[in-house]
Amino acid sequence: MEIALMVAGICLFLMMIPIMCRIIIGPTAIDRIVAVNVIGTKTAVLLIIIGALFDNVSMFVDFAIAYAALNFLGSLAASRYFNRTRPAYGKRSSMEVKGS
Amino acid sequence: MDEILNGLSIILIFSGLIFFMGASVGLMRFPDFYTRMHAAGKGDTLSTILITAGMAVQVLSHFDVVSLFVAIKIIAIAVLIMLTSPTSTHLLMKAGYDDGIDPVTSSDKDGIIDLGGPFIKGSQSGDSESKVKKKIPSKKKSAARRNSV
Amino acid sequence: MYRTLIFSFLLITWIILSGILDAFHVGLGILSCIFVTWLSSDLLFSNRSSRFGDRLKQACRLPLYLVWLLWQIFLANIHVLRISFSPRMREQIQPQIVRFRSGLKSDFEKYVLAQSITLTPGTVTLQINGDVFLVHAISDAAAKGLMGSMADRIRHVFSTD
Repeated sequence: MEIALMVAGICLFLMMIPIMCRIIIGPTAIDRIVAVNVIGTKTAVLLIIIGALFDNVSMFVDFAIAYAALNFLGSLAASRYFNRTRPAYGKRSSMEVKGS
Repeated sequence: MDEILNGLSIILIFSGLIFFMGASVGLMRFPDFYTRMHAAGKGDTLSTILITAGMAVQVLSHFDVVSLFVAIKIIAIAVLIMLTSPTSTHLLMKAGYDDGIDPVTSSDKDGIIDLGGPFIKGSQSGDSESKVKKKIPSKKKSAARRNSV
Repeated sequence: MYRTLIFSFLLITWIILSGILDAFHVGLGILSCIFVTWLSSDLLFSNRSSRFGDRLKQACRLPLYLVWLLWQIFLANIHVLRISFSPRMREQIQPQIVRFRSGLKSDFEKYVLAQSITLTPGTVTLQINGDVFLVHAISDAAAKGLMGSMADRIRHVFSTD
């Protein structure tokens, strides 16, 4: 069972690498925020698996709840920020489309 | 009994990993921002639900009060993510749309397509003016689309 | 009435999150739940005019809808998996932006509809403008299926009779 959990955790970590590439090459700022959001959600899951591996789930699950909630708040705040202050591409002509 | 629960949890965890692989590859391969959002918003939710359900079954396999509470907390994480992940997807997508990121559309599908919808009679009398205002630009756009074709 | 409902809801959340069942911690939980209920009990359940039996009916119908939604999430993931692993992806997707009126009135119904649109195959909610939903659909079939039974299901869940 331990081996299966270990394999699952390593697979979860390896599948984060394409998303890391998306953070690096992502053409717009919001692309990067989406990728960070996905990685944050999966980190909350990874924390539970780590807790099961250390035989201490009751402690790690609290971290996971806090991480999931903070991840949602972080992506929400970032989306509000980029919505108000600056266009993601730097195009000014796009502002007149707003609200259509 | 123990082997059945362990096998069930392993099946749940690895099917969650397969769906997460779909989300991750989709996030890498999809052509534009909006379609990437599809992969992120959907694959993320189901894979999280499946993996947390697998871990809850795993925790419940030796049953006592503490593990019951831990399992309820793990399910609470799944419910929290199921409620918040579409909301953050929608908000990020709205931010991108307001910023004017151009969607990649197929050649004959430019602009906004109106599907209409059900009209509830009698209950929306005050809304009619705004309805008319909203309808006009779409008609202009569809007319322009027809002209260009 | 609603205050006791919110209080019990908060207390259940406290007990689940703390996990300690002795008198001191549960007493602290009761005190803080009373405080929060007194401070901000008018944030939940915005429409208080409806009768309690209607609420109960809605609460009974909601889990059935959630089971249907889970099945839709599963289908949506199969769809994403199939598209993202297909070698000729650009021929399979026809991204488009679609607008329609839903005919739903209260905020919670609109929230549930937007959530369901995001979680069903091939569509993501882009904007909600009053009653008009702006939806990004990934293919023609998804855009056609949008006007199907979903809004009717939600209206059935939240109908008062």
